[in-house]
Parts: sequence; structure tokens; C-alpha cells
Amino acid sequence: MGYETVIGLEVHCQLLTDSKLFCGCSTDYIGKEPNTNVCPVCLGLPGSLPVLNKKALEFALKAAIALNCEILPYSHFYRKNYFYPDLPKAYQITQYDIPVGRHGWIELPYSHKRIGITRIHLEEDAGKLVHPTKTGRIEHATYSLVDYNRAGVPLIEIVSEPDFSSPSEAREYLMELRSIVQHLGISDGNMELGSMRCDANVSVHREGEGLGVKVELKNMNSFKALERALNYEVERQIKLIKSGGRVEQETRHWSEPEKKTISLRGKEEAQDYRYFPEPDLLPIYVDEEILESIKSDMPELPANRRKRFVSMGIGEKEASIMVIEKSIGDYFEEAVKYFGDAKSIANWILGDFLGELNRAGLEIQDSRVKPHQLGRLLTLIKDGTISGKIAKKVFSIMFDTGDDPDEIVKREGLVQIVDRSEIEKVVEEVLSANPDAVESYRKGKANIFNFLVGQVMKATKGKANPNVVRDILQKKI
Amino acid sequence: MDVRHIAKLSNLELTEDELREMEEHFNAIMEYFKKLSSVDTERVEPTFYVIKHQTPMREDRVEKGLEREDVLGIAPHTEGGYIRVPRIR
Ligand SMILES: [Zn+2]
Repeated sequence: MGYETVIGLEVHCQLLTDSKLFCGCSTDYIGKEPNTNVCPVCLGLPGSLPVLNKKALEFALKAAIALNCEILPYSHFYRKNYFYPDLPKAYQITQYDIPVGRHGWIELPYSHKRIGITRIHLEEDAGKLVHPTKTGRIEHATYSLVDYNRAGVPLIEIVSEPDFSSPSEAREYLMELRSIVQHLGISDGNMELGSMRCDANVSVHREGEGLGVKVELKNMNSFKALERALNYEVERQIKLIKSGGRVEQETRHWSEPEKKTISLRGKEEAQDYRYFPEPDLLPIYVDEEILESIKSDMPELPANRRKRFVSMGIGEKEASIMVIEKSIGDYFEEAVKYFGDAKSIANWILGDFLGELNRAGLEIQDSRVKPHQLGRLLTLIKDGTISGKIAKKVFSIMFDTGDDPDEIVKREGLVQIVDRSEIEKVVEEVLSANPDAVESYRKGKANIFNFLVGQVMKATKGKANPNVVRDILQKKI
Repeated sequence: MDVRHIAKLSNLELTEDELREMEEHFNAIMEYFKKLSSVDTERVEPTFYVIKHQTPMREDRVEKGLEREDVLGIAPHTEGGYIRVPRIR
């Protein structure tokens, strides 16, 4: 009998505001000296009062609209109380019964499955703890060090319905979600740097039976880690049930080095957050005026952009790859301004360009090759100045140096030879140097022809126009 | 009222005497709430806020916070710019 998997995701995205959610401290905390980016509000000093960042609310509403949520005309903040030193106030300001938005959905780009969004709400981030030990493991630490620079940075939490029936669907959703927040310009969605974080709820059950016990998974810091952790956990639960065991309701950590999930049992007992309405803030009223001004300012979203790319002549799959990372889509659109054949641009970006970027460990926006230069390179191929093969070589030099393609072609003497008499000369040389090959071609070995073309190309360092070479060879042989 | 549970949530250690004393206080407070609970609120919407105003908002502008020495100055223990706290189990 088969097993079915049920997965739900809880995603946190840091919002790209300049200042924190309730105070004027900067949100730019990465790489800063500890505790240099704090004030009485985010330190929770007595007498300080939080004041809501208007832009953070607008960003949350943008996300709620993009995720097709019902926007609630009234919502408010709560205190979630817990004793842990990453929050100096001993509570987190968050939302609870009335979030900014609820009951939304998104459609996955590949499987076209519709995933429900339970809720989306605003809350503040916590500080960072360091546990200094020789082993690096928290259980061996005798004390902890706290940096409050991140405390109070605005987050949105997006909770999905348990609508995923496989780890790959969950990954697809997370990638689409990242693309949406990137296109909205409200978060950079960087999992490695922690500006996008994801927890998962996983359970399995026998086909036709009721739902299994949920396990909460934490600490997945990349898309690959998420999929691996989910796969591991699904396997673990199925094995456990098959061997007569019972899945326990618990929180487990994904360990990337060990490639397994580890129980945190004992650490987190039944949580009791004692939520109550935040008395230091008043309610949020979202009226038509606010909503209309946000709706009129909505950028193009990934689903529409994919459709538009397809209408430009790009395959559906290629369009998806270019949209899933906003910066690639931006680069593509810019390059198309300089060279109208969108399909060729896409092929170059998804082929040689992404290859070089992966090797160099760079993002497309950090590349030395600018969109107009890629467009120019393709123009050089089209007008016959260089061959497609030489273009790959030119591109590789462009990638390393950032030089213009024209300059590289001139400097390296890569201009394509189209002059027939010049090529004829080389063809004759090749024919007289390879009498055996010519002989066997005449005896019917047709594939020798390509060998001879190759010899001519080699003799011209790839610069001869291959069509002209074929034409001349055909006549001479 | 499980005072022990409440104390644990706040990471407080109480002696048996203190527990008993707290329990008395807690129970007295709970008595007040019982009185409130006796009011019929069947048709009353919950009142989260008595003031029905939009919460004041600020523009998204960065402002200078505290100097680090002042921040660390109010912490009982510090180390290398961090605030040092007991490990939480
Ligand atoms: Zn602050």
C-alpha cells in the first residue's frame, strides 16, 4: 500500500525597507559591528514606544494583493511572549487572529497546481545569538552572546495551506514565492543570507487513511536544502511507520553537513505564547484609498511576465527559468532592446552565459558583460562578421574582461573570412595535404567530407565562413 | 492556577514559599476575572482598543540610534561588543 505526503510551508521574508518596523534604526545589519544599530525602541527600554513604519505596511499589503489574499479592512498587532534573549523585550510584536491578508492562492509555474495561502502577516525579526564553544554546538556552550542589530527588522510571514503532496512541489512554490517578492521589490529573497527563511510541516499517511502526525522542520537555508530535508523526513516517517513505530509530534532541525533531520526534543515543550493585543500600538485600518494607491503601483508579476516572454517567441520552460530569478528576466529584457531576436538572446543567456556565471559564482547583475554588449555580439553573428563558434570564444573573453565584442574581434583578429578566393586557397592546400582522404571520399565515404571541412576551419583558426567552405569543397572535390 | 508553569515560561526560579505566596496573589487576581466573566457579553463585540484611531505611522527614514558604549553600558555582562547572557536551555 502506498503512502501520501502532506506538506505545508511557513515562509518569512525580510522587507526591503530602509528602517526597522517600529523605529528608525537601519535594516542594513549584515556585516555590521554587533549592537551598533539599535535604539531604545528595538532594545525594549522602558518608556520607549513603537511607531509603525508605513512602508512596511504597504509592502505587506502588496504581498497580500499579489498572493490573491482577502485584505482585511482592520487588523492589529499582538505580543507573542517568550523568554529567549534574542528578543530584548521578552515578546515579539506580531499579528495573530487578524492578519493583514488571508485566504489567498498562487499557481505554481510548472505543475500549474494552485496552492492556498492561509495568511500573511507583519512582524518584527529577532536579534542574533552566538554560542561560543570549541565544538560549535549549542549544547556545549556555557553562555551566549547577543547582537540586537537585526532585532526589529520587518518581516512578513506567509503561511501556506498543507497543499503540497511532494517535496519538489514545495520547492517549486518557494521559488515562485521568491520570484513574486523580488518582482514586487519588497524583499530580495536570499535564503543563504537569511532574508528569506522557510519552515515546513510534514506528515505522511497510508493512502485512504486519515492524516498522520505533523513534524515541524527548521533550518533549511537553500532551495536544495529544503527539498533534501523534506525528502529525508518523508522517508524517515514512512520507514518508521512501516517498522511499526509511531511518528512523534516534534520539531526537527535539518543538518546540512550530516544530511539528516535531528530531533530537538526536550528543548521546546508545549509552547505557551500568551498572546495579547499590543497596547503600545493602535489598530490598522486599511481603507479603499490606501488599497487603491497600492494597487495602482503594482509591478508586473512573474505569471504575467512568463506569458509575455512566451509571446516574444521564447519557449515556456525557458521563460520560466528567466523569470524565476528576477535579475535574469531584467537582463534579458534589456538585451532585447539591443538585439531584437528574443529567442537568440534567451539561448545565449541560458546557455553560455549561465554556464560562465555558475563557474565564476556570480549573479547576472554582477557580470562584466552588459546587456548592450551581448546584443552587439549577436549582431556581429547576424551580419556575418564572426561565426557562431568564434562568438563563443569572444563571449568568454567578454566575460573575463568586460571589453566590447568589436574590440575583441579586432584585437584578436577574429573577423570571419568570407572572401571566396582566400578560402579557395586554403581548401586547395587542405586537399593536396590529404590525398588519402580525398581518395576515400571519392570511393563513397561521405562522412570524410566533414573531416575536410574541419581541416579547413582548423587552418583558418575557425574564422572561415563554414557555408562558403562547404560550397567550395563541394565544387573542388 | 499553575504558578510553577508561569514561572517556568518566564525562566524564574521560585522557592516553595514564594510559590505559595504567588499562588495567593494569582488567585486573588483570578477572582476579579471571575466577576468580569459573570457579565453577559453574548452580543458584545470584543473591545481590543478603546481608541478607534488609525495607529500613527512614520515615514521609512533611518535615524541614528544609540552609541554602542551606551548600549553595552546598561548590560550586566558584555564581550567583544556583544551582550553576554546565560545560555538558555
Ligand atoms: Zn531601533
